[in-house]
Amino acid sequence: MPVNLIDIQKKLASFSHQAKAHHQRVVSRLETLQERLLAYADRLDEIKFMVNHEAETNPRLRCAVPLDEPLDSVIPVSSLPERISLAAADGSQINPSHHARVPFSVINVGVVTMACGSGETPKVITESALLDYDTVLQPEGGMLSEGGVAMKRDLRERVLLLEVVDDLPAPAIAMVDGPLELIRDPQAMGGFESFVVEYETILTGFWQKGLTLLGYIDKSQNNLVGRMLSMIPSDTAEERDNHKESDRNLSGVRDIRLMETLLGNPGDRSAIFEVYSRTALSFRPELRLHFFYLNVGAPDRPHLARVEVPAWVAKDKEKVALIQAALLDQTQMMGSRPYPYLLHRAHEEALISLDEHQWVEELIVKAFLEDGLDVGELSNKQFLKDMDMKKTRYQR
Amino acid sequence: MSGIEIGRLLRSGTTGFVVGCKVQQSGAPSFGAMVRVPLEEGYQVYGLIYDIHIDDDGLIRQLITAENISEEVLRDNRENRTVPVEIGVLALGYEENGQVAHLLPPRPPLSLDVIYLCTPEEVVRFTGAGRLGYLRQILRDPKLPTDELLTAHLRQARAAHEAGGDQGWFGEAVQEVIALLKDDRQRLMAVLAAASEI
Repeated sequence: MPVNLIDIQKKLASFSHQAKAHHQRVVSRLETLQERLLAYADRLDEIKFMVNHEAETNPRLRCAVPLDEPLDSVIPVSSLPERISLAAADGSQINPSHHARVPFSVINVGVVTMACGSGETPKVITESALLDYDTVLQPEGGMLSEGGVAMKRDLRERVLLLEVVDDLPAPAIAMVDGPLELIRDPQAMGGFESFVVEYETILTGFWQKGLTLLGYIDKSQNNLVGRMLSMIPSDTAEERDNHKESDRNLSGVRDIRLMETLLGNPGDRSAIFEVYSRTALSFRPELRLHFFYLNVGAPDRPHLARVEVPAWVAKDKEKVALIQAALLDQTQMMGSRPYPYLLHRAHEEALISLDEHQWVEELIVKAFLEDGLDVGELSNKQFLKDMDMKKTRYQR
Repeated sequence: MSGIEIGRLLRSGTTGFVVGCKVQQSGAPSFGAMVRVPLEEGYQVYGLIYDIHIDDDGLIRQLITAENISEEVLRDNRENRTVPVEIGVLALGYEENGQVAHLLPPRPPLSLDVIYLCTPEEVVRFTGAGRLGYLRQILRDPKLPTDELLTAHLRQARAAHEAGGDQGWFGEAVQEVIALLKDDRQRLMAVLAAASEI
């Protein structure tokens, strides 16, 4: 048995106790943030001033900024047009590994389009790319990082989506799973700036064609609205004295908890906010990222998704209303587990199975051998790991 | 030879095999229908469909919990997603160099061999050859729904023979079933009760 359950058992009581204390702290902070959200609901200019003021001393500031709707806005869903085109993209990858016989990386992207209301069979497009050897094994000797592969995958998803959605009958919505914002650890990967430039070019392509693009985030951990509200000075002298301390303490509440009580009905959306961050501000104003929260749950069981959209979409209320209706329709298709049907299908099409991973590796090994190249062996570590997975009789 | 292609072989054995097909192909085959698998020049295996099976998966289970399913989603799942229909086939006999044999095939079909639905002429040629010995294969396996399977087969074969002008085949087939089940009165009565509905 690999895990000593007796050791785990001994720790369970204190673990649960910590969780309870954490929950109580979150509830207390949540109440404070809710009070502030209501108190400042219409004071958008004051909040924008506070954010700008904070940014002067904090260059790494990352928070939300209200666009033009009261903070406590609840905008109900409108009806879905009879015909609407949807396209969803998702990707998966094989990351290069020092432990494999050959270093290689594959990006697989799936795009599924659906003409809602047409009765037609959705179209599926998949694109698989074996990354150049010189990209995987970089000239200076390093190997392309997982973050680098993920970034290339994200870009390829969006390029393919742009090509596909352009041919769909209007109105059309293009969607990806996850944030539109490029969030990677710059230290973990080189060339982040060039990715940002390339990404801006792709977003510009969507913008120039007036296409509707969104990123759908399920179970968002984001707290940008909470961070924004944390900047509001406290009313009591005691809290004001401890302002910095209380700010830090208020930042641990996820926005979906904050919005949950407002967005009571399926299809309700929150106000739209802009993402304020160093990376976000590096984009031209039309491309800057915005977000809102959308209740895609059932009447008695709210489930909030975070929806990211670029500025040209966020400022077009007809496009936002269309997104709201289309996402509700897509998520309701999945019954008790609301999530956009088409994004799930794109994920299915993009997914690289373990078998496929092995087939690709064998193809590469065969090509190397035919070319007279030496092929390395699995690392001993990987060999033994694989052997462990197959063990049957000798488990303790 | 012509015929409707219904799918390709997934796995096989001497007594039967399983065919996989896409959902839109599955409109053609039905329970009790005869199929054939051409293997090599002059050799093909005949069989009878005894089971049509559709597996579920996570997405299907999830979609079922939704209130309504749009036509586009329905078609996506039936045409794009690789959820095969599995068709169980009982081996009835084979044909080699023009000779039909009502015996288990000497070599089973291989993976991905194409399976065709038998035309009425092919049904007549196979079931009309010899002395109906293939009925043994249908009655042998107690796990099969023998009564219903035999009834479905006799109905199809009778129609094919009568369309070809042979009015006596059905009577001979029923007599053969009675002979084969003479020591199993309970099953015989069940089969005859089902056959009486033809």
